[in-house]
Amino acid sequence: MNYQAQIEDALNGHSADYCEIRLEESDSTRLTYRGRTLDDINMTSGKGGAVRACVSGSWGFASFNDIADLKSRVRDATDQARSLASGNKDETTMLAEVEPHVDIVEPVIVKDPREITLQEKTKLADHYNDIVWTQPGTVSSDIIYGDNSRKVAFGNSDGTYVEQEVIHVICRISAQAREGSDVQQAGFSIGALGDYGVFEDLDDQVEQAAKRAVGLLKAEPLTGGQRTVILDPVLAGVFVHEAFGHLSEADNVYENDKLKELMYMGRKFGGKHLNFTDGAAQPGMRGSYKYDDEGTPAALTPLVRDGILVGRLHSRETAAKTDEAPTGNARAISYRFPPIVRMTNTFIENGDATFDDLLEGVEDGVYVKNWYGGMTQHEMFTFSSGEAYMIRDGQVQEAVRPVMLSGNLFETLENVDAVANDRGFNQGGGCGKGGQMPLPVGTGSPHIRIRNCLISGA
Amino acid sequence: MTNQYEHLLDLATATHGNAEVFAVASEHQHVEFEANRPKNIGQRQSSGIALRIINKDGRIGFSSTSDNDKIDELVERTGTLAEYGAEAKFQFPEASDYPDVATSDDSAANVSDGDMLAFGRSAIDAVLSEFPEALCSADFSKSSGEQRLRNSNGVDAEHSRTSCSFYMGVELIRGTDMLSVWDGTVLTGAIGEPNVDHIVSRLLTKLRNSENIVDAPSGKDIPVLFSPVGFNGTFLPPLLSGFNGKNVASGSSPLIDRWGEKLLDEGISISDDPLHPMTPVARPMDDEGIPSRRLDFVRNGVTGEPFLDLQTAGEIGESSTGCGMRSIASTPSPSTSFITMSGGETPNDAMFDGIKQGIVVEQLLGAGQGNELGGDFRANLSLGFLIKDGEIIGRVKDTMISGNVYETLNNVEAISKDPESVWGTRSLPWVRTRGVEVSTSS
Repeated sequence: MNYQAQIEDALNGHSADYCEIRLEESDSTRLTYRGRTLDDINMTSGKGGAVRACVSGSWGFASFNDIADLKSRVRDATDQARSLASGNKDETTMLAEVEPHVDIVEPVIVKDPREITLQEKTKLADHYNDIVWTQPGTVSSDIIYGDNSRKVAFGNSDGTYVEQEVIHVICRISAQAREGSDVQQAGFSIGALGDYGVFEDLDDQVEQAAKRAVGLLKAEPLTGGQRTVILDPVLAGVFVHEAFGHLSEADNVYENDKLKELMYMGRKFGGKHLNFTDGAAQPGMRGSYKYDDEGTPAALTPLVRDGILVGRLHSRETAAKTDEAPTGNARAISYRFPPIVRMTNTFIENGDATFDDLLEGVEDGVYVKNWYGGMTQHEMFTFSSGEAYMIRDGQVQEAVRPVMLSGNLFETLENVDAVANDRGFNQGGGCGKGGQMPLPVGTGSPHIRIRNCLISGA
Repeated sequence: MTNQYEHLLDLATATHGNAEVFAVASEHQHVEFEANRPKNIGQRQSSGIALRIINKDGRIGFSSTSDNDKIDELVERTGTLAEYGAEAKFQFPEASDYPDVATSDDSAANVSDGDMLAFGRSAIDAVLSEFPEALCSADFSKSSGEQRLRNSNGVDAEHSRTSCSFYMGVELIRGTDMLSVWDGTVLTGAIGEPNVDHIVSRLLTKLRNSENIVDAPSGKDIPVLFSPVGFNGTFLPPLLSGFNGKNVASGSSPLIDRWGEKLLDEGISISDDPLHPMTPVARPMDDEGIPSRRLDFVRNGVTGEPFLDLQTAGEIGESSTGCGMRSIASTPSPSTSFITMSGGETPNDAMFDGIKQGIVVEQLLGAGQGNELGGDFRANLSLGFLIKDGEIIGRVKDTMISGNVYETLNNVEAISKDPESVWGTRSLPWVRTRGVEVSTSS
């Protein structure tokens, strides 16, 4: 795909303050097993484009499948932006400076899923299914495997032209067990950038998930209330994404003076052991890329250092309007949407403690692992474990039913009292915001301990 | 679209014997307000075509594209995929008579950008006049689309659809407390001033009820009152997962072998009605060409029937209930349309009467993250209120609810007489229950 001439020609002579064009081609394969049999196997190809224009701070956007007449699309988006701007007279277009560049970015490929035959993919999925079904007590299973390649050509009126291709592989496997009308399930989600290998060698994990599902039928539910919890690296990654990441997205802040007062640089959110970072410049993860969907180069952005707020995530507009530097976090899930401020790969940096240090002295707590999901609404957030175990007298003990945890930005981070030194990564997640989901993101964290964390009954 | 469409079906039928082509085209126009001001305006045109075949060995192949240059490739690709595909437990249906139901209304198309801007502005002004420090966002949109389904057994059905939607959110920050409330609706026809006024008045009521933050009680013996929106978010996902043909066919639904049993309170009757006219989810047929009909999931507490598409119906030896729905990029799967729940005996304004201390559940944060298949629900209350002596006295925070739908909906104290519209796609009453576990950090 080389659309440079077509995009430059369409942008030539535009009358907006700023204008950009994205053209996209995608191919995806998806296998879904439900129970013993293959439920769905599906290949989809897509092609489409989008134009976005800004006039006096108002944005016009148009997306389409037919990319033939880009010049008239540019005109339409500009006219719409202008009509909106006419009622917004005190606004101006403000976009942070990004040096124009022309670049072709090759995809990260470790083991190309497009070179693996359908036969091999289905054979491997069948094999995992057999593992679930040979566990006594399982009643059903779900396996989803997907790979997707997305090529995007981006050009803007500043003279930037970038072509990028990314290839994603995702997999979710879960097992269900049932006793009467009590149905329990356990599973895991994983993903990788350009690497089919992530779908291979999962026998042990699949077997463990099937055993956990059966075991949960006997596990006791917890009573809701506040407890000490220790989060494994996977769930702690979801925690930092939900508890802090979303409020770091500057589009929440840039037009909200009250929130700006609360989220000021230098505010203390917790102890010195808290260090959070986000960035697509971390190589080889699902939230990694070289340029965001506004053509801004990716970065690694420190968000919290020694417990203090030091940075946030930006598009060009939010950076200009808060007088901060752009961070390359404007992302669109596809050509059907405009780019908005999103996380990429979000991390809690390693602390000094060991996992045993975290357990020490916990008399009645819960060890929570793995995830079902998470959600944020401003300062409030929830996230759910896929596994939970009692901790008594510093020892991890029997499994209990998985729990949902809830917190509040201004209290819960203060209650994180220990951070271990064993960082692990998870790339099975997809983030949703503004109707755009699942956006590929990565997380990384060591084990962390939270005192007085509110958990639901189960 | 028509030529390519007919050519594709002819070619696929000649190659594979049994084929079905599904095509959609839609246009969407919207205006978004951010921080009390119009910010984005945009349009989305999309189209796509999907081919599903059953090959000579009885296996399903499916592929789709939004790239006009790749339409012919679908024939060969579905053939390759079918070699690995699921065994078809159905035949493509034959043509039938479809019920008459209104799915489009010209008035939606007549809503102009100027109308959307004016309605959005007046709604925001109305909120700001009472809460000047509020930050409002709003999204006004209109859509129109058509879809066509044709198969090698003679189905050739098309219908068009229009809709108009308005959503509004209001944020209030006081100290470190951030209150966020939202409301909205979708209609088949134009959204007008009365619809916008109604949404604004509901938002203002929520804001007024949130003026004080109060401590919530915790425990399992507190009356918990679910607003129609709260009922929708809390109970429908875990309940409907049990009726979903996929879970019934795979053996993981807790309702297997329990059809016709009384599992819920006798005041509870819940149906799916795709023939309810002028809702944005009304349809004369499903996306596989099966005529739509009303389904009773629960009648006076007794379980009725699951919702099925062709494949899941075939797997359990039943007929499709006309619930096979899909997007362009996916095969059909069982799906509901307009969910209605019958009202009860209690006048809506008497639902708080006699409650000494209770909780109102309105908006949820994080619902759907638990073991829904088993009927479990749990969520943080993103918007909940404390009732004392029959009156709302303030908003509760950092409070979670949890329970199991099959237990809680057997412990119903009252159901309001008049159901209310929820997001334009549900009609649900207020429901007062016991036995929900309430956990708090206080």
